[in-house]
Amino acid sequence: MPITLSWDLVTGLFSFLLTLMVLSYLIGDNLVFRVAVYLFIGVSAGYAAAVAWNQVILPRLFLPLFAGGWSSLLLLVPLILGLLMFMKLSPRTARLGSPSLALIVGVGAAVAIGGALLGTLFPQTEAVINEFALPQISAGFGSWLGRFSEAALMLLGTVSTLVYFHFSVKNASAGPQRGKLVDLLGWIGQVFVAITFGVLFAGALAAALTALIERIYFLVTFLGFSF
Amino acid sequence: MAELHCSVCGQSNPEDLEVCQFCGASLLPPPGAGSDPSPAIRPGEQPTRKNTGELEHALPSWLKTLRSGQDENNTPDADPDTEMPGLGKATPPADTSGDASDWLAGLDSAASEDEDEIPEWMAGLGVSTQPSFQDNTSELDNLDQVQPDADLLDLLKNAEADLAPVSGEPARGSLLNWEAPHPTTADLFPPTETNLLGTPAQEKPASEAIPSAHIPDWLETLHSKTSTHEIDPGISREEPPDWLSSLPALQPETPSPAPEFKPDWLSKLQGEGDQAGQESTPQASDPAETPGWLASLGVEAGPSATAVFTDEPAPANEANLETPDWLAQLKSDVKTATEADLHAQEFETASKPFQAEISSEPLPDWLSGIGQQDSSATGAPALVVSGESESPVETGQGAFSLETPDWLSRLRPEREPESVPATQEGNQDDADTTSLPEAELPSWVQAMRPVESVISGSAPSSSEEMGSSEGSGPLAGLRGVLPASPGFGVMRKPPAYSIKLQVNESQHRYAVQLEKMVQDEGKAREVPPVQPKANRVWRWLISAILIGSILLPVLTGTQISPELQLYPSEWARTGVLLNEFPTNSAMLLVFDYEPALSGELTASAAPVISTILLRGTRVALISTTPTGPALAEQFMESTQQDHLSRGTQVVNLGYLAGGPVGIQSFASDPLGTINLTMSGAPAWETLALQGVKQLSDFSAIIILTDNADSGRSWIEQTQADLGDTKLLLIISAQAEPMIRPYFDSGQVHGLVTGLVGGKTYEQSYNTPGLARDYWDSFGLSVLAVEMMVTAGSLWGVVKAWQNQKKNRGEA
Repeated sequence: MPITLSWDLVTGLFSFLLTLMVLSYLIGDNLVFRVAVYLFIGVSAGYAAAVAWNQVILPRLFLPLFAGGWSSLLLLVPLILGLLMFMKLSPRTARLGSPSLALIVGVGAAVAIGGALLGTLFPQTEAVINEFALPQISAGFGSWLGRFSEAALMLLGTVSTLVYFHFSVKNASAGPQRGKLVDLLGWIGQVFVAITFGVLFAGALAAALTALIERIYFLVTFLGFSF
Repeated sequence: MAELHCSVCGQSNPEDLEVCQFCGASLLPPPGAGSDPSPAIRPGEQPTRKNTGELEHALPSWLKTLRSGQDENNTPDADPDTEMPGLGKATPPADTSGDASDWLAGLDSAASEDEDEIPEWMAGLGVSTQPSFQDNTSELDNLDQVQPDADLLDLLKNAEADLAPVSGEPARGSLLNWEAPHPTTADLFPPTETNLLGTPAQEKPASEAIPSAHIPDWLETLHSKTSTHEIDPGISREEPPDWLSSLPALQPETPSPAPEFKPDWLSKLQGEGDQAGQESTPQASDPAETPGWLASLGVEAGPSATAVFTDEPAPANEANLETPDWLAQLKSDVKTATEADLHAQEFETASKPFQAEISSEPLPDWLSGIGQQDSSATGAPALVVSGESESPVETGQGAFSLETPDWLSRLRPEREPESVPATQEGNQDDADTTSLPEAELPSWVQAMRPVESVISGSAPSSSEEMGSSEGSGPLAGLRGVLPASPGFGVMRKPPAYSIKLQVNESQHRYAVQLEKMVQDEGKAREVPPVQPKANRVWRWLISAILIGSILLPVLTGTQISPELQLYPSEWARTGVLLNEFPTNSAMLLVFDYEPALSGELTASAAPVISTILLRGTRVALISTTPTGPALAEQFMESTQQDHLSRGTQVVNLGYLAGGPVGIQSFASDPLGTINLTMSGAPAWETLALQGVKQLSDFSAIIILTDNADSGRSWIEQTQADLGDTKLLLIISAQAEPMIRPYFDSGQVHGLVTGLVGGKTYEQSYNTPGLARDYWDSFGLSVLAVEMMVTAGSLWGVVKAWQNQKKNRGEA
């Protein structure tokens, strides 16, 4: 059966080679692996620059600016701030880019803090509190016990984990020591932290295995499709 | 008729003589004696009291007592050898013992009163500094300790080199004064320097000073014999006679001197000389030959020297008239020395010192040096050349005695008047300078001297140590401060003093600590052993297991992993959400994951999106990562091709810049934030976004992310603008632990996690897809990983137990 050269075959072959080049890291750091990595980094950076120019700078800055209109003059502010960012390339003119950077950091921090407060801290605290909004025992003791246990475990895990990161100590004759209750809760929190790390590892491992499976499956499929 | 006592030999001389008839020493009063407030005290003379009242306050009390005692006991016939205050173990002569005891008693009492205790080292010097010939006799036996044989040989070699110009004129600055005519100060220095150095200007040759009647017969005979053996007429009369040159040649033939006539110490000296001579010049070790220095000692010292070499003092007449048997034997050997000429050349080196000694006429130069030595011995030396340049008396006192500090020497008040005339002889003009009072150190200055100082090496002679007395300048009155002439002659190595640093215990402890710190700095730090890299075998083994577990289901096509029997907890709410998803609504699909994890998210999101699109849902694609729009395009084309072909409205809004800020901006004002699609068309005029003016107009927001931060940002920033919009997150398995709390809290309405979530959805809706394809490989590989992790953990526990057991065994 003759092999038909198609775009899918070319891209598939290129992907096949790049996949093998990356998998060559199993035998250690080598030139093939580095070529693949450098190629991916270069392509990603170039693509990111192209996307930024084509989707951000040109349609949202220059086109409106050159389109005319007094309102478009406001775009000179982000243009100037953006040009000042290039001053960071030279140490002698780096201070000129500080206003732009300050604006980015200030706005970003403010948005992040506001989002953390309104989107994470308050809702999560409320969620923990609501866990103890237990149903009536008459509705079912088993359900009530399950909810209560879950809420208690969540509360214990939250508090003990926070206590684990509580490093305040008291001065004692034998040296600085933590209180016994704090020490006990800290130990429990350490257990929860360990479990959390285990979950994170398991999640990362599952994600990596899935990615590996996808790549091997692609290789097998490509080989089976081609030959 | 008054008699003058020689300051050197102590013999009585007629008053009209200017030179001692026995030793040739000058009997003239020191120059400037009339004007000198402190003239020298000569034997038989009463010292002139000088007015030193202004200096009395600077003197220690014990010295004051000493001075007073001396004034009382100063007798004209005081033996100069007893001038040195006996410090402890002094043995003064019998005739002056009584006087000495008196002033010594005063010294002791004064010392006790002044609380200036004599240090041990000074007490130890007391014996050696006593200028007693009796002690020097014993010290001569230990001559090798004072001056090694090597030094003697070097001395002879230097003399050989210096004798080269002797042929024309007497060698100036010769190393050995006893082998050449003693240079006068007029020859060595200008008159002004001569005065300072104290060498008498009117110094006469000893041959003229000593009457011929006092020349022993054997010397005359020796002289006549030597004159007949002159080889080269061109050689000056200082050249050694042939008989002396031939002495080594006669060594095997000449019988050894009668041992009964030689003292033991002389035999020992000869034996040592033989050993030294065998190393360098065997000819020089002729046992019949008298060493030059010994000859000079024996002759130059005159009557006094006789006391040195004999156990009991002998009269001067006996020393001059009687010829020792060994010398007589020497004369007989000389007479029969017919083969000396044959060996003159090879013995030239060893004989040169003796040539210069014997070849002078009418008296040998070494005899002529007597007067010079005697006259200069008591004064400051003109120059310190070597130990042999000193007078016999001084040699006997200093060369074989320990060093006496100059400040201690100044404690001898009787010594100075005797030395001053010799040094000032012929220097009338410099009488004032030389008559300066001696610098006297007060007790507090003495206390500043080194407490523990030891003498290393050979001790210089006392005269050399004393040096010349400075007549002017800031050093006036001090002795031995400046060298006579820098670089002139062979300079002697100065005595080395080792001064011990006085430290207390704490200082010593600090010093030890500092030394330890410095040593620790030099030590190489122990580098902890570097953990070896992962074994390549293990790497290959694990890789093989993983790849094998993945390939096995793929290649065999078997379903190893069973279907899900227990769905994830989030599926209950997520399933309800998907079931209640409105039809013909707009949905915002966010692609915020990296290409590396596209396989996982594609498998997880594909069935969900496909189910939603089946409801006629319009889709708007957006991404906060630059690669997101491309991934979105690829995702839709690869997994939702069927829906796209059926005319599903999909619009790609592209890249949303700014991260959380961009999300917040988009959530608050979607139209103002993004107004164009990827293709450049007005975004909000497309069919996919019809009726959408704000974020809450979307029926659902589905976020595909592998990053917990990205998902959290969408949750946080869109929380206030969601309204009734459902928020569904399709996330990677690695982001689940961080995103799940938002699902549990109700902030996220639906959650699909990883491959398990996709498989759950497929299994629930019975739509096999990528999740099912990957499921077997995923289950088997996860099982393999679990086994390897478990095995590794057990191996770690066993190894830890073994290490613990090993440590216990070692303990």
